[in-house]
Amino acid sequence: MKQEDLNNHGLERALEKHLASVSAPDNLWNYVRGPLVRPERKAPVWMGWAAAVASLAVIAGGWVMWQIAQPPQSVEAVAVNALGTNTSELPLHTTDATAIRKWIKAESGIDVPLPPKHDSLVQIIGARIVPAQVEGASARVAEISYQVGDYRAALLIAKDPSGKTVYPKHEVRSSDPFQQARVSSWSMRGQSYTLAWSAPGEFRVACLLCHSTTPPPSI
Amino acid sequence: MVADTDQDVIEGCQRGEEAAFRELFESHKDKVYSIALRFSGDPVAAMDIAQDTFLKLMDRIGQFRGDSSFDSWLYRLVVNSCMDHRRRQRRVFPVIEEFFDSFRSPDPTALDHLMRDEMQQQVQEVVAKLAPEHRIVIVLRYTEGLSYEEIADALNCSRGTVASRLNRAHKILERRLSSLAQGTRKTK
Repeated sequence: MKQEDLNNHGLERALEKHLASVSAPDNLWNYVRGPLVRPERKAPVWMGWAAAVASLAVIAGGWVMWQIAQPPQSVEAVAVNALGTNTSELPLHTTDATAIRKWIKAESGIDVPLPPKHDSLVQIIGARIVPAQVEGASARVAEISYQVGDYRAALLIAKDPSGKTVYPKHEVRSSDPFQQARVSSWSMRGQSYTLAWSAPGEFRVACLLCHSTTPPPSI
Repeated sequence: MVADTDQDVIEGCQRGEEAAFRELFESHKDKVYSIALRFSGDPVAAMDIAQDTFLKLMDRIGQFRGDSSFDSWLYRLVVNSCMDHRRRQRRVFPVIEEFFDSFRSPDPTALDHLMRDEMQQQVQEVVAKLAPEHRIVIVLRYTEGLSYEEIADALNCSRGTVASRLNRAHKILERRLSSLAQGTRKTK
Protein backbone atom coordinates (compact mmCIF):
# COMPACT_ATOMS: atom_id res chain seq x y z
CA MET A 1 0.00 0.00 0.00
CA LYS A 2 1.30 3.44 -0.89
CA GLN A 3 2.12 6.00 1.79
CA GLU A 4 -0.64 8.26 0.44
CA ASP A 5 -3.20 5.48 0.85
CA LEU A 6 -1.99 4.89 4.37
CA ASN A 7 -2.37 8.58 5.12
CA ASN A 8 -5.86 8.69 3.63
CA HIS A 9 -6.84 5.59 5.52
CA GLY A 10 -5.55 7.06 8.77
CA LEU A 11 -7.31 10.32 8.09
CA GLU A 12 -10.59 8.57 7.35
CA ARG A 13 -10.34 6.54 10.52
CA ALA A 14 -9.63 9.70 12.49
CA LEU A 15 -12.59 11.48 10.97
CA GLU A 16 -14.93 8.54 11.54
CA LYS A 17 -13.85 8.42 15.16
CA HIS A 18 -13.89 12.10 15.98
CA LEU A 19 -16.89 13.08 13.92
CA ALA A 20 -19.05 10.18 15.04
CA SER A 21 -22.76 10.63 15.50
CA VAL A 22 -23.88 11.82 18.93
CA SER A 23 -27.10 11.73 20.90
CA ALA A 24 -29.28 14.80 20.87
CA PRO A 25 -29.66 16.54 24.23
CA ASP A 26 -32.79 15.71 26.19
CA ASN A 27 -34.06 19.27 26.03
CA LEU A 28 -34.03 19.42 22.25
CA TRP A 29 -37.74 18.60 22.05
CA ASN A 30 -38.62 21.48 24.36
CA TYR A 31 -36.32 23.70 22.38
CA VAL A 32 -38.00 22.77 19.11
CA ARG A 33 -41.54 23.04 20.46
CA GLY A 34 -40.88 26.08 22.63
CA PRO A 35 -41.27 29.65 21.54
CA LEU A 36 -39.11 30.39 18.57
CA VAL A 37 -36.28 32.59 19.76
CA ARG A 38 -33.98 33.80 17.08
CA PRO A 39 -31.07 36.17 17.59
CA GLU A 40 -31.97 39.56 16.34
CA ARG A 41 -30.49 40.00 12.92
CA LYS A 42 -28.60 43.14 12.20
CA ALA A 43 -29.62 44.91 9.05
CA PRO A 44 -27.19 44.06 6.24
CA VAL A 45 -24.47 46.61 5.57
CA TRP A 46 -25.81 47.29 2.07
CA MET A 47 -29.10 48.44 3.55
CA GLY A 48 -27.26 51.07 5.55
CA TRP A 49 -25.49 52.31 2.46
CA ALA A 50 -28.72 52.28 0.47
CA ALA A 51 -30.44 54.31 3.17
CA ALA A 52 -27.55 56.80 3.23
CA VAL A 53 -27.59 57.17 -0.56
CA ALA A 54 -31.39 57.56 -0.56
CA SER A 55 -31.16 60.22 2.16
CA LEU A 56 -28.52 62.13 0.21
CA ALA A 57 -30.64 61.89 -2.94
CA VAL A 58 -33.65 63.27 -1.06
CA ILE A 59 -31.59 66.11 0.41
CA ALA A 60 -30.02 66.93 -2.98
CA GLY A 61 -33.41 66.75 -4.68
CA GLY A 62 -34.91 69.01 -2.04
CA TRP A 63 -32.08 71.50 -2.42
CA VAL A 64 -32.51 71.54 -6.21
CA MET A 65 -36.27 72.02 -5.87
CA TRP A 66 -35.71 74.79 -3.36
CA GLN A 67 -33.26 76.47 -5.70
CA ILE A 68 -35.74 76.18 -8.56
CA ALA A 69 -38.53 77.54 -6.41
CA GLN A 70 -36.45 80.54 -5.35
CA PRO A 71 -36.97 83.62 -7.55
CA PRO A 72 -33.69 84.74 -9.13
CA GLN A 73 -31.85 87.72 -7.76
CA SER A 74 -32.50 91.18 -9.04
CA VAL A 75 -30.48 92.10 -12.09
CA GLU A 76 -28.69 94.75 -10.02
CA ALA A 77 -27.55 92.14 -7.49
CA VAL A 78 -26.50 89.80 -10.28
CA ALA A 79 -24.52 92.61 -11.86
CA VAL A 80 -22.67 93.33 -8.63
CA ASN A 81 -21.96 89.62 -8.14
CA ALA A 82 -20.57 89.52 -11.67
CA LEU A 83 -17.80 91.88 -10.57
CA GLY A 84 -16.37 89.04 -8.51
CA THR A 85 -16.98 86.23 -10.97
CA ASN A 86 -14.04 83.98 -11.55
CA THR A 87 -13.21 83.91 -15.24
CA SER A 88 -13.20 80.10 -15.18
CA GLU A 89 -16.93 80.22 -14.40
CA LEU A 90 -17.68 81.86 -17.73
CA PRO A 91 -18.66 79.48 -20.54
CA LEU A 92 -17.34 81.96 -23.09
CA HIS A 93 -13.90 83.30 -22.34
CA THR A 94 -12.70 85.71 -25.03
CA THR A 95 -11.52 89.27 -25.63
CA ASP A 96 -13.21 89.43 -29.03
CA ALA A 97 -16.31 91.70 -28.98
CA THR A 98 -17.65 90.25 -32.23
CA ALA A 99 -17.43 86.71 -30.87
CA ILE A 100 -19.21 87.85 -27.70
CA ARG A 101 -22.03 89.41 -29.70
CA LYS A 102 -22.52 86.31 -31.87
CA TRP A 103 -22.44 83.93 -28.93
CA ILE A 104 -25.00 85.93 -26.91
CA LYS A 105 -27.29 86.16 -29.93
CA ALA A 106 -27.08 82.43 -30.44
CA GLU A 107 -27.59 81.57 -26.78
CA SER A 108 -30.31 84.03 -25.81
CA GLY A 109 -31.58 85.80 -28.89
CA ILE A 110 -30.40 89.11 -27.39
CA ASP A 111 -28.52 91.36 -29.74
CA VAL A 112 -25.96 93.47 -27.90
CA PRO A 113 -24.81 96.42 -30.00
CA LEU A 114 -21.15 96.01 -29.09
CA PRO A 115 -18.78 97.84 -31.40
CA PRO A 116 -16.13 95.52 -32.82
CA LYS A 117 -13.40 97.81 -31.55
CA HIS A 118 -13.20 99.51 -28.19
CA ASP A 119 -10.88 101.67 -26.17
CA SER A 120 -7.47 100.22 -25.43
CA LEU A 121 -8.18 100.54 -21.70
CA VAL A 122 -11.00 98.00 -22.04
CA GLN A 123 -10.30 94.29 -21.90
CA ILE A 124 -13.24 91.95 -22.38
CA ILE A 125 -13.08 88.84 -20.20
CA GLY A 126 -16.05 86.72 -21.31
CA ALA A 127 -19.79 86.20 -21.15
CA ARG A 128 -22.53 83.94 -19.84
CA ILE A 129 -26.31 83.76 -19.67
CA VAL A 130 -27.82 83.98 -16.18
CA PRO A 131 -31.32 84.20 -14.70
CA ALA A 132 -32.33 87.44 -12.98
CA GLN A 133 -35.31 89.55 -12.02
CA VAL A 134 -35.64 92.47 -14.42
CA GLU A 135 -38.24 95.00 -13.37
CA GLY A 136 -40.03 92.36 -11.33
CA ALA A 137 -40.07 89.66 -13.98
CA SER A 138 -37.78 86.63 -14.38
CA ALA A 139 -35.63 86.82 -17.46
CA ARG A 140 -32.57 85.30 -19.08
CA VAL A 141 -29.85 87.91 -18.98
CA ALA A 142 -26.66 88.17 -21.00
CA GLU A 143 -23.73 89.07 -18.77
CA ILE A 144 -20.55 90.53 -20.23
CA SER A 145 -17.60 90.78 -17.88
CA TYR A 146 -14.80 93.14 -18.71
CA GLN A 147 -12.12 95.26 -17.18
CA VAL A 148 -11.27 98.92 -17.58
CA GLY A 149 -7.78 99.56 -16.36
CA ASP A 150 -7.50 97.76 -13.04
CA TYR A 151 -11.23 97.68 -12.29
CA ARG A 152 -13.87 95.12 -13.10
CA ALA A 153 -17.14 95.99 -14.79
CA ALA A 154 -20.16 93.98 -15.92
CA LEU A 155 -22.84 94.80 -18.41
CA LEU A 156 -26.07 92.83 -18.24
CA ILE A 157 -28.58 92.91 -21.05
CA ALA A 158 -32.11 91.50 -21.10
CA LYS A 159 -35.09 91.84 -23.36
CA ASP A 160 -37.29 94.54 -21.91
CA PRO A 161 -40.02 92.71 -20.00
CA SER A 162 -42.60 95.34 -20.82
CA GLY A 163 -41.70 95.24 -24.50
CA LYS A 164 -42.75 98.86 -24.77
CA THR A 165 -39.48 100.69 -24.41
CA VAL A 166 -38.58 101.89 -27.83
CA TYR A 167 -36.40 104.78 -26.74
CA PRO A 168 -33.49 105.15 -29.12
CA LYS A 169 -31.40 106.68 -26.36
CA HIS A 170 -30.64 105.65 -22.81
CA GLU A 171 -33.67 105.97 -20.56
CA VAL A 172 -32.03 105.74 -17.17
CA ARG A 173 -34.13 103.99 -14.52
CA SER A 174 -31.70 104.14 -11.63
CA SER A 175 -28.13 104.99 -10.90
CA ASP A 176 -27.16 104.29 -7.33
CA PRO A 177 -24.44 102.82 -5.17
CA PHE A 178 -25.22 99.15 -4.61
CA GLN A 179 -23.26 96.90 -2.23
CA GLN A 180 -20.02 98.88 -2.50
CA ALA A 181 -20.34 99.17 -6.26
CA ARG A 182 -21.95 101.60 -8.61
CA VAL A 183 -24.89 100.30 -10.59
CA SER A 184 -26.92 101.96 -13.29
CA SER A 185 -29.90 100.60 -15.23
CA TRP A 186 -31.54 101.90 -18.37
CA SER A 187 -33.74 100.83 -21.23
CA MET A 188 -33.06 101.30 -24.89
CA ARG A 189 -34.58 99.92 -28.08
CA GLY A 190 -36.59 97.22 -26.37
CA GLN A 191 -33.77 95.99 -24.17
CA SER A 192 -32.89 96.52 -20.55
CA TYR A 193 -29.27 97.26 -19.58
CA THR A 194 -27.59 97.16 -16.20
CA LEU A 195 -24.02 98.25 -15.66
CA ALA A 196 -21.97 97.55 -12.54
CA TRP A 197 -18.64 99.18 -11.85
CA SER A 198 -16.25 98.26 -9.07
CA ALA A 199 -14.21 101.47 -8.91
CA PRO A 200 -15.16 104.21 -6.50
CA GLY A 201 -14.44 107.07 -8.90
CA GLU A 202 -15.65 108.12 -12.27
CA PHE A 203 -18.48 105.84 -13.34
CA ARG A 204 -18.51 106.79 -16.98
CA VAL A 205 -15.18 105.07 -17.53
CA ALA A 206 -17.15 101.84 -17.52
CA CYS A 207 -19.03 103.10 -20.57
CA LEU A 208 -15.89 102.75 -22.66
CA LEU A 209 -16.97 99.24 -23.61
CA CYS A 210 -19.47 100.71 -26.06
CA HIS A 211 -18.58 104.38 -26.13
CA SER A 212 -14.92 104.69 -26.97
CA THR A 213 -15.65 106.87 -30.01
CA THR A 214 -18.95 108.41 -29.05
CA PRO A 215 -19.61 110.52 -25.97
CA PRO A 216 -20.82 108.47 -23.02
CA PRO A 217 -24.33 109.09 -21.82
CA SER A 218 -25.06 111.04 -18.72
CA ILE A 219 -25.51 108.35 -16.12
CA MET B 1 -39.83 5.06 -1.17
CA VAL B 2 -40.69 5.64 2.45
CA ALA B 3 -39.62 2.30 3.80
CA ASP B 4 -37.00 3.95 6.01
CA THR B 5 -39.70 5.75 7.95
CA ASP B 6 -43.13 4.47 8.77
CA GLN B 7 -45.62 5.70 6.22
CA ASP B 8 -48.28 6.01 8.93
CA VAL B 9 -46.09 8.36 10.96
CA ILE B 10 -45.50 10.61 7.99
CA GLU B 11 -49.17 10.67 7.13
CA GLY B 12 -49.97 11.46 10.75
CA CYS B 13 -47.58 14.43 10.58
CA GLN B 14 -49.21 15.55 7.37
CA ARG B 15 -52.55 15.54 9.19
CA GLY B 16 -50.97 17.69 11.91
CA GLU B 17 -50.96 15.05 14.64
CA GLU B 18 -48.65 16.05 17.49
CA ALA B 19 -47.97 12.46 18.55
CA ALA B 20 -46.87 11.53 15.04
CA PHE B 21 -44.53 14.46 14.93
CA ARG B 22 -43.07 13.51 18.31
CA GLU B 23 -42.43 10.01 17.00
CA LEU B 24 -40.78 11.34 13.88
CA PHE B 25 -38.67 13.66 16.01
CA GLU B 26 -37.53 10.83 18.27
CA SER B 27 -36.55 8.73 15.28
CA HIS B 28 -34.41 11.39 13.67
CA LYS B 29 -33.27 13.80 16.39
CA ASP B 30 -29.82 12.23 16.82
CA LYS B 31 -29.16 12.29 13.12
CA VAL B 32 -30.21 15.93 12.76
CA TYR B 33 -28.39 17.09 15.88
CA SER B 34 -25.20 15.21 14.97
CA ILE B 35 -24.96 16.79 11.54
CA ALA B 36 -25.73 20.19 13.02
CA LEU B 37 -23.10 19.78 15.74
CA ARG B 38 -20.38 18.46 13.47
CA PHE B 39 -21.09 21.18 10.92
CA SER B 40 -21.18 24.08 13.36
CA GLY B 41 -18.75 22.77 15.98
CA ASP B 42 -20.88 24.52 18.57
CA PRO B 43 -23.58 22.83 20.73
CA VAL B 44 -25.62 26.02 21.02
CA ALA B 45 -25.56 26.58 17.27
CA ALA B 46 -26.39 22.91 16.78
CA MET B 47 -29.56 23.37 18.85
CA ASP B 48 -30.55 26.30 16.67
CA ILE B 49 -29.90 24.35 13.47
CA ALA B 50 -31.83 21.34 14.76
CA GLN B 51 -34.72 23.56 15.82
CA ASP B 52 -34.74 25.20 12.41
CA THR B 53 -34.67 21.83 10.69
CA PHE B 54 -37.63 20.44 12.60
CA LEU B 55 -39.61 23.64 12.16
CA LYS B 56 -39.00 23.38 8.43
CA LEU B 57 -40.00 19.73 8.60
CA MET B 58 -43.29 20.60 10.27
CA ASP B 59 -43.90 23.36 7.80
CA ARG B 60 -43.14 21.34 4.69
CA ILE B 61 -44.14 17.80 5.58
CA GLY B 62 -47.28 18.32 3.54
CA GLN B 63 -45.12 18.72 0.44
CA PHE B 64 -43.40 15.35 0.96
CA ARG B 65 -44.82 13.00 -1.68
CA GLY B 66 -42.50 10.06 -1.19
CA ASP B 67 -40.76 10.47 -4.55
CA SER B 68 -37.44 10.07 -2.74
CA SER B 69 -36.66 8.47 0.59
CA PHE B 70 -37.67 10.37 3.70
CA ASP B 71 -34.05 10.33 4.89
CA SER B 72 -32.89 12.04 1.67
CA TRP B 73 -35.60 14.66 2.08
CA LEU B 74 -34.62 15.20 5.70
CA TYR B 75 -30.92 15.47 4.82
CA ARG B 76 -31.76 18.26 2.40
CA LEU B 77 -33.59 20.11 5.15
CA VAL B 78 -30.64 19.75 7.53
CA VAL B 79 -28.18 20.87 4.87
CA ASN B 80 -30.32 23.92 4.13
CA SER B 81 -30.51 24.80 7.80
CA CYS B 82 -26.75 24.40 8.14
CA MET B 83 -26.15 26.69 5.18
CA ASP B 84 -28.68 29.21 6.45
CA HIS B 85 -26.88 29.24 9.77
CA ARG B 86 -23.55 29.64 8.02
CA ARG B 87 -24.89 32.63 6.09
CA ARG B 88 -25.83 34.26 9.36
CA GLN B 89 -22.36 33.58 10.72
CA ARG B 90 -20.52 34.29 7.52
CA ARG B 91 -16.75 34.23 7.86
CA VAL B 92 -14.00 34.70 5.35
CA PHE B 93 -11.31 33.04 7.40
CA PRO B 94 -11.90 29.46 6.23
CA VAL B 95 -11.14 30.41 2.67
CA ILE B 96 -8.01 32.30 3.67
CA GLU B 97 -6.82 29.47 5.89
CA GLU B 98 -7.35 26.95 3.12
CA PHE B 99 -5.31 29.12 0.80
CA PHE B 100 -2.35 29.26 3.17
CA ASP B 101 -2.68 25.59 4.05
CA SER B 102 -2.07 24.68 0.46
CA PHE B 103 1.56 25.75 0.95
CA ARG B 104 2.14 23.44 3.92
CA SER B 105 3.55 19.97 3.38
CA PRO B 106 1.99 16.99 5.17
CA ASP B 107 3.92 14.83 7.61
CA PRO B 108 3.36 11.15 6.60
CA THR B 109 3.59 9.76 10.11
CA ALA B 110 1.93 12.48 12.11
CA LEU B 111 -1.56 11.18 11.40
CA ASP B 112 -0.94 8.34 13.84
CA HIS B 113 -1.36 10.84 16.62
CA LEU B 114 -4.85 11.62 15.49
CA MET B 115 -6.26 8.51 17.04
CA ARG B 116 -5.56 9.84 20.46
CA ASP B 117 -8.53 11.11 22.36
CA GLU B 118 -6.93 14.43 23.19
CA MET B 119 -6.91 15.18 19.49
CA GLN B 120 -10.67 14.93 19.19
CA GLN B 121 -11.31 18.56 19.93
CA GLN B 122 -8.60 19.62 17.53
CA VAL B 123 -10.04 17.46 14.75
CA GLN B 124 -13.45 18.98 15.26
CA GLU B 125 -12.01 22.46 15.31
CA VAL B 126 -10.10 21.85 12.11
CA VAL B 127 -13.22 20.48 10.44
CA ALA B 128 -15.21 23.46 11.68
CA LYS B 129 -12.75 25.76 9.93
CA LEU B 130 -13.29 24.17 6.54
CA ALA B 131 -15.25 26.12 3.98
CA PRO B 132 -18.95 25.19 4.28
CA GLU B 133 -19.13 23.28 1.00
CA HIS B 134 -16.19 21.12 2.11
CA ARG B 135 -17.36 20.80 5.69
CA ILE B 136 -20.81 19.52 4.82
CA VAL B 137 -19.50 16.68 2.62
CA ILE B 138 -17.11 15.63 5.38
CA VAL B 139 -19.90 15.63 7.96
CA LEU B 140 -22.33 13.71 5.78
CA ARG B 141 -19.62 11.23 4.87
CA TYR B 142 -18.10 10.59 8.30
CA THR B 143 -20.86 11.44 10.74
CA GLU B 144 -23.67 9.81 8.80
CA GLY B 145 -21.64 7.43 6.64
CA LEU B 146 -23.48 8.43 3.49
CA SER B 147 -22.39 7.24 0.08
CA TYR B 148 -21.28 9.66 -2.62
CA GLU B 149 -24.69 9.25 -4.29
CA GLU B 150 -26.57 9.99 -1.08
CA ILE B 151 -24.43 13.06 -0.41
CA ALA B 152 -24.99 14.24 -3.98
CA ASP B 153 -28.73 13.81 -3.48
CA ALA B 154 -28.72 15.76 -0.23
CA LEU B 155 -26.64 18.57 -1.70
CA ASN B 156 -28.43 18.55 -5.04
CA CYS B 157 -25.17 18.25 -6.96
CA SER B 158 -23.38 15.61 -9.02
CA ARG B 159 -21.44 12.66 -7.68
CA GLY B 160 -18.34 14.11 -9.34
CA THR B 161 -18.75 17.33 -7.40
CA VAL B 162 -19.01 15.36 -4.17
CA ALA B 163 -15.86 13.38 -5.02
CA SER B 164 -13.99 16.56 -5.90
CA ARG B 165 -15.02 18.34 -2.69
CA LEU B 166 -14.18 15.33 -0.55
CA ASN B 167 -10.77 15.01 -2.17
CA ARG B 168 -10.07 18.68 -1.65
CA ALA B 169 -11.30 18.55 1.96
CA HIS B 170 -9.11 15.50 2.67
CA LYS B 171 -6.02 17.31 1.48
CA ILE B 172 -6.78 20.38 3.54
CA LEU B 173 -7.47 18.33 6.66
CA GLU B 174 -4.34 16.28 6.12
CA ARG B 175 -2.19 19.38 6.02
CA ARG B 176 -3.81 21.05 8.99
CA LEU B 177 -3.87 17.97 11.17
CA SER B 178 -0.28 17.13 10.29
CA SER B 179 0.95 20.51 11.38
CA LEU B 180 -1.11 20.23 14.56
CA ALA B 181 0.35 16.81 15.32
CA GLN B 182 3.85 18.11 14.66
CA GLY B 183 3.28 20.95 17.06
CA THR B 184 1.99 18.52 19.71
CA ARG B 185 5.06 16.31 19.45
CA LYS B 186 7.46 19.23 19.65
CA THR B 187 5.92 20.44 22.87
CA LYS B 188 6.24 17.03 24.53
